[in-house]
Amino acid sequence: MLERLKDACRKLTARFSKRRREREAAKKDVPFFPEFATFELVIMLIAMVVVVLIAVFWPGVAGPAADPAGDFEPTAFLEFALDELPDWITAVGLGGSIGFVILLFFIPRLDPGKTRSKTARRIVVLSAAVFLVGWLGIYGAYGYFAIPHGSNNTPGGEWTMCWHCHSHWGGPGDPLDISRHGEVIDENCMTCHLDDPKLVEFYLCDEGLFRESHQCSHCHNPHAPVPHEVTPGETRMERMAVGGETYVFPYTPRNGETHPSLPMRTCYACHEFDTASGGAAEVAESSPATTLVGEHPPLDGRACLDCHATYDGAAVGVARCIFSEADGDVHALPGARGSDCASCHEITTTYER
Amino acid sequence: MSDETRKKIAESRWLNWLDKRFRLKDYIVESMEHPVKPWMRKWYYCLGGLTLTMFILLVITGIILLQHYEPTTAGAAESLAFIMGDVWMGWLIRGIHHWAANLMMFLVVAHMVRVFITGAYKNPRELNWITGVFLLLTTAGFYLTGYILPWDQRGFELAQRTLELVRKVPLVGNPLAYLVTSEKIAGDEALHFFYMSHVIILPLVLFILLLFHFVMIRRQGIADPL
Ligand code: HEM
Repeated sequence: MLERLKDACRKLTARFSKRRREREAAKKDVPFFPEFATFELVIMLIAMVVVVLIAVFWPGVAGPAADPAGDFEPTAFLEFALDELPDWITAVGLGGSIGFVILLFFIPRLDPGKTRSKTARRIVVLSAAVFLVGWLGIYGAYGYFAIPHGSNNTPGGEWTMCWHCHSHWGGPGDPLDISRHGEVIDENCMTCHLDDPKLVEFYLCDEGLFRESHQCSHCHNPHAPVPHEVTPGETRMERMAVGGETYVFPYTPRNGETHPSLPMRTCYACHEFDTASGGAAEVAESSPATTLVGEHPPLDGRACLDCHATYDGAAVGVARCIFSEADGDVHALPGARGSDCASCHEITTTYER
Repeated sequence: MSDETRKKIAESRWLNWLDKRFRLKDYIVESMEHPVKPWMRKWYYCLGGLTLTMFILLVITGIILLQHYEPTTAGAAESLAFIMGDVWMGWLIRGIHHWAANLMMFLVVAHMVRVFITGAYKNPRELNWITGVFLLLTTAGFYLTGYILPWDQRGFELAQRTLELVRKVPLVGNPLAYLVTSEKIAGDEALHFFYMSHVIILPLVLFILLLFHFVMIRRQGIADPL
């Protein structure tokens, strides 16, 4: 028993002295090769792996080509700064940056002594901290916010005029007042998109189709590289991720135009697929004109005709043949009605093909 | 590594072969034995090396991107879409290039701050600090020209606004901008200039500056802490 105890004590002291030896060794010089070189190489390899991992998770997107001839809208931070800020601020900013770089060259001259006093040390740490916080702040803000509409070719994006779309200043704690006004209100979209009468009709008129219930930003993510496209992980996109990939707009607006390129899954974000439960039924009740919501409900007999009144070209779906083989019942002529639409028409749309 | 092994390496056949041709043995043996002090073995003394690592990554991925990138206003964005969608692992290569560039920018500043805080710019390392400031500017140049290359709206705007800024500089501004492009609105000429800077001029400048930087570090050693 005593022997065992002694043995354990010996092992314990050996372990401690090994640690002490290691600590002592850490205080000594080591030769560059291989001791230090290995240490540096391991750190370099870790850095490489980190970069590859980041690139795997945030690979970026390829956006559309620039359109120099198009409206020169102030979409980027740089442009905003140069266009909207007074010239003297631009000049001060530019002069300040150039001055800072010149100052950098002279740092050895400005601090020539071999040692540093306590005050000098404080000044050094303080100025380094101010520089780092300022630089990282600008860099972070620049990288965090994507430019609306198409300029976001590379991952990250640019700081832009958030408040042009988000509208509200909620104080320093909540600069965009996301909690109340985070959603981009349609009027803000319209400040740029007023040129499109169709959009005005859809969204802005008092009796517009979606005046009450839908907002542009429910479906369109202004931060996505192409407004109607979706980028995984982007704000609105998670909501869209539920459904399929296909583009369809199952409503038939009053003027007969179909909405361009809206992913079907956008609708699922709010509307339940199953018409019997919740969402779809509610919508059907509140807006009878738009009974087809969520994924296409199972077709039964002539149910399609509730929404797609006639074969008039605007109807969605692909006819396999114009002469129906089902039930011997045909509608070879526009306006004629078959008894089972689904026997000829796929439950898809032209966009889905 | 024991002294015995080190001696073996010093007397190895390949090192002697190299020495006969390049007279490098003394240098290599000396470098291997060069003592690294405990305070140098801190993570913040690795920031320079990490910057170099990012640069190496950028060169490798950059060469692959170069193979597919088209430096024209009509084809740049399309060629990037091709790289992202069709080139094998193209999306990853471009992602690595993008993130390594951002990290390099970050690391070079962090390294500079480390040198500043440890006072490593003091006599006799003033010239190395000045070389460093040029390295910083060159890295920023890479960053700027790289952002322009995709020729998406942001790239175009950056090119256009950079030229406008240059033109605003009194006296020399206009002739300088004219060297880049004769067009009022940035187009193919400007894109070519930024492309050439990104893949030829700046890499050459950076290589030369790094050579100076490293030779000086080798000669002067790492500065003792103040
Ligand atoms: C491409 C950019 C750069 C690379 C790859 C690079 C690389 C390195 C490396 C590997 C070292 C050895 C020590 C260490 O890693 O900390 C070093 C030291 C040094 N660097 Fe850099 N560097 C770069 C930019 C800069 C900049 C921007 C500055 C300052 C403005 C600078 C100033 C110095 C000085 C003064 C030393 C000597 C430090 C000492 O003796 O403690 N370098 N550099």
